[in-house]
Amino acid sequence: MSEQREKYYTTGVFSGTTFLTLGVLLTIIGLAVYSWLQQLSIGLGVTGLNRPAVWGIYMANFVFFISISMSGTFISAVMRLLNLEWGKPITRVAEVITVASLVMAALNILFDVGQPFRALIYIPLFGRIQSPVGWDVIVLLFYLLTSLGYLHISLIPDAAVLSERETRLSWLYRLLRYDWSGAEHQVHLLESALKILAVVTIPIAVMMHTVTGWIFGGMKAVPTWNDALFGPYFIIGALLSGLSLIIITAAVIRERYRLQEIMSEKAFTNLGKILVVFLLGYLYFFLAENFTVRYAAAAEDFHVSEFLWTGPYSPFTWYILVSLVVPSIVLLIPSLRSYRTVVAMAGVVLPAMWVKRVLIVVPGLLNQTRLPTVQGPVADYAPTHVELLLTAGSFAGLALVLLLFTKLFPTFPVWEIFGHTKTREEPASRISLRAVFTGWMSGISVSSAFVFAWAVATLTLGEKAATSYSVKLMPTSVEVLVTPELVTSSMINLLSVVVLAGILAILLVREG
Amino acid sequence: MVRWGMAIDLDKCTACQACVVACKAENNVPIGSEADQLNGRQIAWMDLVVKDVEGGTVMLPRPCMHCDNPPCVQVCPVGATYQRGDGIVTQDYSRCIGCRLCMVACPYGVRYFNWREPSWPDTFTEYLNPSVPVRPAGVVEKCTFCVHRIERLRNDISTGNIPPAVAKAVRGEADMEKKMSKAIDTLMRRLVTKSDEVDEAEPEEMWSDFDFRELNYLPSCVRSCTGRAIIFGDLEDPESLVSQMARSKRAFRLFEEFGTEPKVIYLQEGR
Ligand code: SF4
Ligand code: SF4
Repeated sequence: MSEQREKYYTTGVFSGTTFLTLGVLLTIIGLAVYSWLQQLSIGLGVTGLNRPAVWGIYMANFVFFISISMSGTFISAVMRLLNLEWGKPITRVAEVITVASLVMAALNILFDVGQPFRALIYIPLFGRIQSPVGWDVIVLLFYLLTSLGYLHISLIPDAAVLSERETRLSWLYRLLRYDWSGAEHQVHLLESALKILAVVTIPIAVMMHTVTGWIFGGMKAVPTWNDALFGPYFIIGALLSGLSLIIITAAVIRERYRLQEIMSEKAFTNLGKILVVFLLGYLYFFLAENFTVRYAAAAEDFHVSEFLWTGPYSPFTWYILVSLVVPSIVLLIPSLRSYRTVVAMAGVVLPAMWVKRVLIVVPGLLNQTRLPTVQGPVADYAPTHVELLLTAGSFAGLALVLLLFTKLFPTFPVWEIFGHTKTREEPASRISLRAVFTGWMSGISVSSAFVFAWAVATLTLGEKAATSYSVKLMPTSVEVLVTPELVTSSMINLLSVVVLAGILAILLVREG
Repeated sequence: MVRWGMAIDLDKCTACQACVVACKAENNVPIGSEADQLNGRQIAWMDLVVKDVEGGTVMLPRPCMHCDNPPCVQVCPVGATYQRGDGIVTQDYSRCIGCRLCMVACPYGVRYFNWREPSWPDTFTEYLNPSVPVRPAGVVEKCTFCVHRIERLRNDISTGNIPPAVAKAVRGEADMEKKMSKAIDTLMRRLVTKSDEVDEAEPEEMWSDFDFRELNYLPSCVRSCTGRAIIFGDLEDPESLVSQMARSKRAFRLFEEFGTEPKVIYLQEGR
């Protein structure tokens, strides 16, 4: 047993194939960086964006990366809470995907905005709680915070084992192990910490996708967007694309790291069963969406629907439909539900879900031509090489993070499969596990209290400046430059408070 | 408080697009390259809508509607677009992060993004208007009801540097807002003199030393309209020309169903 577990702790082995993959990924990322520099110096004119297609595949990428972030922490939280033995080996993959894809989502927003450096400074400085971007930034921060905490805490026992062997990176593992010695009370604390974080994560994950859906659902001007369905639709879409990516990544890791015994075929067929549930759920929403539009929609919405089903975008729509129906049928037949088919079907679903994101963003905008003007153009959108390279770069970035992570740490939570062991040495660190956990929890709770206070302040004081329309408590009539301190600086305070709370908690609670 | 609004009489509009050109010149709107113009990156704060409807073609000049309940302001994450006390929805170019949420939110499609650094052909750059900022790449811009002209009027009233006719009109008023409302209305009535909807009560000598450049307190499109179809003024003042027009039986507003309460009022073509 112990020999067997030993072999999963081999880290930092870079084979020829790894270097090749690394080289390819870095080349793509390099090209993407070059395109971004080009875009930064010339402006968004280098993209295919125009009016009325003001958002394009950057926005679709953002939605897609947000949606695959659902996979990770949410699915792994559910697996931990339900204590599904077969699901445990994939939890770590899922958590890493979440963290990496949230970062990629944030990057894609930076690609999309015209003034990315202003965005970085002004959103924390002048962020408004009425704007969908405000909600998204807040929830994204929370989700990133909880997911990182979750990943971090579940790494500790493995880092402790790794820190006891002679590698070039043992300093890193020693740092991440804190005072973990595998003692009874620590195991108990770790497991409760994970449970608590799992419970916290689930509502945050749900809100993350709802709020992303509301960016679209809240835009009354664009045909087919102003739809109550968007929140739940995005959640089920996120579950579907997230799970597909987990299946694919887990399969790749299983093959590359020879984890056949750990990630059983059974686990994959089980994931296939869950996948088919999500698929059918998604198809149901797809039907619901199209029913209203086809049967009883306003003329504008119907026009978009025609555009999608028989117009220029019809190949994409039919492609999506086929890629959703075929996997559902294949996975519903028990005799066909094997490791190979599940992975293949996940591979069919995932690209279709990306195309679907493009079809959410672009056709509605292209058909927003209520007032055709003399100088208005013929609505058309085609991404340029800059957009395509940046898209490829974001996917390469995600793959790179995954690759490096699996090289640095065990690809699955070894301690959860083989049970805890006492470590050989006494830990040298003075930061206790309790302190780390308190740090994460106080960061999360203090910042939520802050956001809550901010929202209440905005509602009751009436956002004097940037006119609070969502909540019409005050007449809409004061200028932006007289904004009360509280509201303008709330986001920057939020950020600093999160960081401070975490650091303070660790300093205060550490032993000795 | 004033509430600036605009009325556009479609009976008088000849679709000549003088307003479109005047707006571009007044507000330093970049012309850009031809390729960009063809690709839907043309900027035109004021543009002419041409739409085929049953029984013909509708043409109407389309500035920003300066909605009372503007969705663009609602969604802006940093407060770069905001509504002034006098109802004008304007844009802080140095605050805008270029997220384009406002472009998506506006039902009238009046917002324009700067896809590249602004550029003009030939010697255009020598004639840029010094009172209006030139916008960098990556920010959104739109019609401001020529807010710089209104601000100049405020300044000139307080320094007393206004034509006698306007000075007389504002004399009785106590606060600045009322004075501006009256001044604009006086100028507006002067501009549309002899139009059938206005009684011209002002004796001619009031305007004897009047310099027609004074009419430049009015928004550029209003000032340049060849048919005198565009009327600007204070909607709060029931006596103002624009309020009179707004009460007309022919008055309508675009897309009321969005609940945006636009302050640009169109007067239907008489049939
Ligand atoms: S017309 Fe559009 S840009 Fe103008 S105030 Fe209304 S929503 Fe905003
Ligand atoms: S593009 Fe500028 S004005 Fe428009 S919503 Fe974004 S920050 Fe606000």
